Amino acid sequence: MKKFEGGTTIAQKAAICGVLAALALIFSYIEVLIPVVPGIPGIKLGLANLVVILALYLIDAGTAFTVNLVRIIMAALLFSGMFGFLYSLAGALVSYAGMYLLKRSGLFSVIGVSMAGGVLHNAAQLVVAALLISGPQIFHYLPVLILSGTFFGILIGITAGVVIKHLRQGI
Amino acid sequence: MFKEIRKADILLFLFFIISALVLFARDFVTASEGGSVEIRVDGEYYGTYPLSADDTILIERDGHTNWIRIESGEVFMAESSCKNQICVNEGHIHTVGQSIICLPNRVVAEIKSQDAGTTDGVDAVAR
Repeated sequence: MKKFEGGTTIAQKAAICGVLAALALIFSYIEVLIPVVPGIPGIKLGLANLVVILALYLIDAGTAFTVNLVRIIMAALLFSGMFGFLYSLAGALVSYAGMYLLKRSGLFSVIGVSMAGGVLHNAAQLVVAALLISGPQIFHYLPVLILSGTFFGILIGITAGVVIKHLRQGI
Repeated sequence: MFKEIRKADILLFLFFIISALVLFARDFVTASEGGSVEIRVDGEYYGTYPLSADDTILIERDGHTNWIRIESGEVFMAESSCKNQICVNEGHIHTVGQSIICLPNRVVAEIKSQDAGTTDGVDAVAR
């Protein structure tokens, strides 16, 4: 049985990266089409983050970063637009940095890493919204986003844990 | 799966939950009835209107339109040209610090404590 990994040749790595980026992009699109809580902005499942976490755990940090960046650029070109780009970029960079550090610390399980990713993603997007548009009063919204980031981050973390376990056992 | 959960996970979880609750509680305790609504468009000051008088404010900018309505001391977005209509669905606001934000049209309406009459134009722009 072959272990799931990022490939050995550059071609294999590029192919895996492409497949994961495509998967993340589809997840992003699904979230645009089907909001979890209609009417309340910013509350998202974070399905795309599932792919990033899988890349981070199963392949390497560089692949996870690339997949995330490609997804955001493609999503901006296809459906989220310039503002969407700034929000996603801020959210993704901060949450990636946080997840990377927490994973490296070795103290957290994938659930904790994903939970932190969800909260940091929401917090970073709120900062961008405050800077670009509304000013500091939008931070009244922070507790809602912390709770939703925690909750959905845990869900994604549990899912990631299950997927990682099965993929590590071989496909 | 759940036996993988570490102590650090739980501490971080508690940290998030407690900070969210503290922030909620702070908002709840400090909530007071507003006296006016301040509107900003594209991050720039647009105008301040008293909540005491019913009023409808039309904002037109770059082909976007927003109708902000003041009615019996409450403010709501009556109509917006934006696609997602989140601002319209946000409902009525009336306590200090509450706001309705239309991200696509970059329109913000925030409840302020003071009456519109007490803020002169220079101060309002300088904020």
